[in-house]
Amino acid sequence: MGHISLTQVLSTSYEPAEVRKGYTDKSLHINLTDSQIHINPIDEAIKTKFIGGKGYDLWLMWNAVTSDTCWNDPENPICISSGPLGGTPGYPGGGKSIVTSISPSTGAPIDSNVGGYFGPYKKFSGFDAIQIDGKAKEETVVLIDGIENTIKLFHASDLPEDAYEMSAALTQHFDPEKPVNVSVVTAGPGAANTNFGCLNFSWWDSGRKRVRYKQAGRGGIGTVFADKNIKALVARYGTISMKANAPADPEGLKKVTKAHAKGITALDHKQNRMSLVGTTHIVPIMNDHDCLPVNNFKFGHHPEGKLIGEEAFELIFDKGFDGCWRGCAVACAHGVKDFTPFTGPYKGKKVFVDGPEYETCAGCGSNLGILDAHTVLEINFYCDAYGLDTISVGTSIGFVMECFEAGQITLKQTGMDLSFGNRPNALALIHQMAAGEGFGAIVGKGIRQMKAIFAQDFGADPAFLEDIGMESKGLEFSEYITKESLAQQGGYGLALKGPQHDEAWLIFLDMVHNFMPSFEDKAEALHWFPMFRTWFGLCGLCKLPWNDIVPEDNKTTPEPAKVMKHVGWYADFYTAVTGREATPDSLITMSEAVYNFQRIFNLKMGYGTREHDTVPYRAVGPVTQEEYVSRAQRYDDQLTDKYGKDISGMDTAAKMAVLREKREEQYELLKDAVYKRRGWNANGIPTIETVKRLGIDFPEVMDVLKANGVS
Amino acid sequence: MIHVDDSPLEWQADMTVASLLAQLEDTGFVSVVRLNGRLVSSPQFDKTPVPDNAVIRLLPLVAGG
Repeated sequence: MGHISLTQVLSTSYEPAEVRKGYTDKSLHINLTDSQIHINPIDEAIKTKFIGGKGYDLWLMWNAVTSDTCWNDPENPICISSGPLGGTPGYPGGGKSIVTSISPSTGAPIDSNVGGYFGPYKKFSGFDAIQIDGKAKEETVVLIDGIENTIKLFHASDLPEDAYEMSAALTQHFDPEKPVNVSVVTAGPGAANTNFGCLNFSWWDSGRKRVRYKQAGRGGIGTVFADKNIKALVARYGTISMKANAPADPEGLKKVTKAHAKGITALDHKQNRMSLVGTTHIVPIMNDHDCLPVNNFKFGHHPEGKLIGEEAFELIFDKGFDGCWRGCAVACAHGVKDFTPFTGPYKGKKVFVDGPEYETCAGCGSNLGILDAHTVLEINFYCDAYGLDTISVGTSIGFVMECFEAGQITLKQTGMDLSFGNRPNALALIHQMAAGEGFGAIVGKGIRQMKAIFAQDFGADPAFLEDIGMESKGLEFSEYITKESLAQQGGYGLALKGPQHDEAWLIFLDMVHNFMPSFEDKAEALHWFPMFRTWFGLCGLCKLPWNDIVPEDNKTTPEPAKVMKHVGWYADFYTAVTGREATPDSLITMSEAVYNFQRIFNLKMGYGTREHDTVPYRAVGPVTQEEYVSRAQRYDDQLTDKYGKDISGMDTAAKMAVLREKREEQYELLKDAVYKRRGWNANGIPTIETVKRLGIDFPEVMDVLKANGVS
Repeated sequence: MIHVDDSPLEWQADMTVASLLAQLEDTGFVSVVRLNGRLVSSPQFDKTPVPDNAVIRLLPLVAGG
């Protein structure tokens, strides 16, 4: 590791706020344009209503932007908060950060939930949330030093370009004696040259004695970070114990932490074995159920699907503790050591790859027709090093490959063969994207912009592009086939930030088990699950310990999908830390207020209505005859049995047209049912009654509703 | 003899994963099992034989990413 030099341009000492019951009640505001630093109080009313985490981030953002603010305007902030429960050592999944900004992809608020130590270190340094806005004139490193109680800004001109080397260098620079005290947030060179730059959040792996990373991937917050000329955010803090959050009920916290951790430790090896294989076990399961995206979401199964799943990665992952938070019993953040890329700047060198998770295997593997674990790893490595979101990369390249094979774009535009399965050229495209060069510069704009460019400049068929371009609200889909699950079509299309599965994942409840046959059943699920999943983002937690490892008696409970024993533990956890009595029902109400506030925030930014909750037809049904024919029996049966159609004499095109009409009609009916359940009007806007019930009827909120015809 | 979630169960010569699950209670949510460590998903339940001495784990409801 070479020596780095940083030029200090500002140093401010501060009196650290004492953490009480999970909160410091302070936020840190850094304006990069004029190097101003302010520490602001967070009052009780905001704490009560917005809870923390994503709630705090959204509140700070709401007050920072206007309806005209674009992602690259100086006033667009990046906000990071960890929530009142975040930073509890030993609680499974207890150390997340939630990052928000106005997204380059969607133009609306985006949120991303990420591991690593930054969020807790920031809080214990004295700040529940940080808000960074403005733009630095020179490349800048921000240090929040909770040991020396100083905040420093540095100009940096000779830092390593890629995220991996930069984080390692800064970790060594700021605490060479105790690198575990340092967590670094970086983007990477690709973040500046695409619209889907990610952020890498680091932690020190004491066992392997190296820096490790998790990614805040979705929606291009890394791109905003790069646009602000930030090279890195660094948090430094010392020893953390169960007392760090100063819980209201230390014994209660100890009891619930022990119960949940013990359950995970006892059961994970009997269930999904995430401590061994991470989330790669999902690959063969999705493949077997026709839900693994193959060739730009055309199909849900590939005969060689298991080659990029747990059977491969169990053998490849480096053995050792892989918790992205201290003492997390799930410990699913696996990696691969001594991996040797065959392309790019690290060609022939041994590197450590953090990942892959399911989404990367599916998006950068099967969705590109690539059933090769080595290539998936190489794409994973370079995306992280360059600061690119693997989900948007995989879904965007899948779109490009289908356009290429369908003749919508040609070698003349791409400069390379982009047929499905072309591994070297998929990687070449990623190197181009990161550098902002060649055809990769266009791909890095994301699917929504590519659709316009391909149609306007390359003569492609816009209707076909709309059908196969897997984006909604401007965000690329995460990696599940939803054609046979109407509820999950809603899970994606009605998600506030765009089609990410962290709001609702209902495919198996709906498609496999048929536990929600009516629209009302689906709407109820599309209320409860998004609300409960939102709660993790308010409190600084990971959702995996909730329902990926479940109690042995869960199957005998009235609603096994909700894993109510764990929900009860989360209520106990919240009560023990904050001292505010919580129940499973009150967790939902907490989320509901923030969820509706975010919907109205979308409205403020010019979105947030019914027309923006659409999904491409590829998410709903077969776009091409090839797709229909591949599952002809299924579709024929639905036309006759479900819709009562006489299909004798109908050719494939005619059958596809009828199926499309029916399925699109069903999706609109689902919207109606969900809007009603959520207390929204037919245009998808929260009603006055709803915002009053939830206590978010602030004057500015009411103004936005009024401007949109709701009064 | 086979073991299902640590409980012993008599093995039958023509046993499949589907026929095994049909004998058990509260399996409505089971869409994936581990059979001797290998994942078997519901579309394969009725064509996957259960060998004698098998160790089977009933996995919880698949919850996604």
